[in-house]
Amino acid sequence: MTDRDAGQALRDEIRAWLKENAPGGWRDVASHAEFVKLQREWFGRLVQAGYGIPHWSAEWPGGGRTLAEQKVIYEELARSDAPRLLLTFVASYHTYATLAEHGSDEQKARFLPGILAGDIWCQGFSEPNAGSDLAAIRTKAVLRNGVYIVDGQKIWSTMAQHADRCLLLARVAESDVKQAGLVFLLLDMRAAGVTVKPIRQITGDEEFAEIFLDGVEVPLADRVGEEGEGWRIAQTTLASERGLTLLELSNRMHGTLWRLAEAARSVRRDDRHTLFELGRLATRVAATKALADQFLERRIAGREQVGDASLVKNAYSTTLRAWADLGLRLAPFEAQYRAPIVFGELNSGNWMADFMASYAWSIAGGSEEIQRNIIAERVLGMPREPKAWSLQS
Amino acid sequence: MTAEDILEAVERALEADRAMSMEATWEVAVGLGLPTMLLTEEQGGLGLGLEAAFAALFALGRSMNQMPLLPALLAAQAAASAPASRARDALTERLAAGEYVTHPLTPHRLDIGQDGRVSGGVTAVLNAAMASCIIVRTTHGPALISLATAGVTVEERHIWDPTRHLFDVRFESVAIETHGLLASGNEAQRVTRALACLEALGIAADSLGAADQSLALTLEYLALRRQFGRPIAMFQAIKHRVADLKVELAAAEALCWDIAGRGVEGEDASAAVAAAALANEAFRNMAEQSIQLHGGIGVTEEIRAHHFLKRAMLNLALGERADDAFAAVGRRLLSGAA
Repeated sequence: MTDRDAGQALRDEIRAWLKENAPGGWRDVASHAEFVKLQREWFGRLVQAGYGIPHWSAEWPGGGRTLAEQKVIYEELARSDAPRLLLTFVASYHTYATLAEHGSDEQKARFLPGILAGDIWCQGFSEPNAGSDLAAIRTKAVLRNGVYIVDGQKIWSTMAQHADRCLLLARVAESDVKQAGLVFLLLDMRAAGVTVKPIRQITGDEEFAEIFLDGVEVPLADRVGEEGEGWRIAQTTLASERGLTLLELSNRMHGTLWRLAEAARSVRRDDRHTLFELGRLATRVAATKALADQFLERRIAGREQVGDASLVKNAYSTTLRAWADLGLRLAPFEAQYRAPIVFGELNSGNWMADFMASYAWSIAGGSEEIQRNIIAERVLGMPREPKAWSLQS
Repeated sequence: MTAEDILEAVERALEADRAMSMEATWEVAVGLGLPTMLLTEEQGGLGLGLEAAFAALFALGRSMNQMPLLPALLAAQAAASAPASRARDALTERLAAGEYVTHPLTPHRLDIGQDGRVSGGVTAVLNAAMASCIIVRTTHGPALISLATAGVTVEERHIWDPTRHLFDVRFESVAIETHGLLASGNEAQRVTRALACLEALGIAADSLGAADQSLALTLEYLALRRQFGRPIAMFQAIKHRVADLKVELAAAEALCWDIAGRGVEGEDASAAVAAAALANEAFRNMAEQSIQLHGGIGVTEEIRAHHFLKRAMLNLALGERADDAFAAVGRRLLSGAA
């Protein structure tokens, strides 16, 4: 059997499975409790069928898929209009990537099976005064008798209000190089002193939250790596967001082109201008997907260069905005009616909601502007900005 | 040979002597077997495909080379994909002997009259003065015509781009013998489609190679030029624009390499032509921004930034029109085929 035949066989298999199993009516959920239930069940069913974690290693059920197989799975999930896995997103990408590379065997054994059983994770990196300048975080962790005592505040933590655990970046030491004094902890969100306050977004949703930490205890066993390695480990977490997740999302965007065609058909538009815009966008989507594919192939071959992931992320975020923009311009007036729950770009069935949600990728995970700095300095070798700054100069 | 070997071989050959005349580099290319690489091994070629052609043209674009490799490859592709015939044998023989057979790089279709003769003209024929023959699309299919035939005239047109030599070729009641036709009917369509893909991706390869070089030279200048006591490359206003150009180029490159590697499936050439259009646009943006980022010196002949702008604008004008290609992809999407 050739690779192409094998891909087609998997495509047929997952299509048949989706026909039987893809949840319908999921856009009608009206409460967060329903949303959580639906997401948990859907993830569980996908994991059981072997489609939930195709990017994990082969020792896990449904893991060890080739790149080509992963692409087929993501595309077919999008084509079937199945809901995206938003609730388990951080767990299955960020936590997995971080622990797979830096976690101890004991930590892997303790946490990864829980993810497959439905544990929800969030990421506690950004703070009110440490956004783009992430290394400036001030949340403090002090080690006392084998336990870290953590005090501080985190923000923009996606799904934190539902999370069981948090990937937490905290400061253990003040040092001249602010990146040097950080530690990476696996925080239990039910520990005493953790308060979560959801943030209401422009879509009306509460997709992310603030986390307040007041004397929270984290056992030493829940530290990843050593003190001072926090920044390096966080880079793995962020790189997984900038690179690996975009394999799924760019294939999903490609698999979701039918929604644009549907929008054009629903308003009976087939004039040349519309055809041109559809075709140009479809080509940009194909290019974004090709870039994400190439990135993953390079990573697997050990040829990934610093900053490559930033190229993929900005290609995706700008194309996603263009995708939502075209949909919104083609869509019938209905796009102006409020959708109850949005949760994620590409997904809502309402173009205005998709448009607003597309900011998730141009701001979160390192804004487009920060990626441009990384591309300029790390990929293209342009000089860094002078560090010192004062009002007088 | 892999595409990477080709890329390396071409770059090495060109690196050997940057000051070589076009004729001399062409000799080097013939020596490497580049113009005939798409011919099958039985035909005396290297039996290579689209990806290798893409690699070679990318390398030529990077060095802004003047040699007319793309038309030569189109001729070789015609010989490789045409059905067996006397015309194909004649073409193969000429190519294997190292002759340059050319092909216009703008859309055209010549009428063959009842008398079996063609009149009319084609534009954008690269280095026609050096060619022995030309392949043109006719109402009956692709035809091979010797430029020495009575009634054929060749005239150089002076264009903005100093890195290319373009000619018009006119036909005044030129006899097309039946054995001049390389294919007809369905076969003609198949050959024409293969040529259209190669033409589009070939121009795109040139664009991406040249854009890569334009970016490199621009970065060099930005690091060198100092204002306000620092290299202007340090300013975010500059960095962010260059980063955006890099993203655009990287995406177009990934898509074109991917298509060149996979080959074009079935009847759909429009996705390949649209991908190429994206690459040509990216080169144009790069070259346009490059002039702006160079400031005053950018609009002088002191530096080569204008060569890139002129080549980019020429590449956009060659081949099928980009908006037609995008509209064709849009039509497929709307009909549910994509």
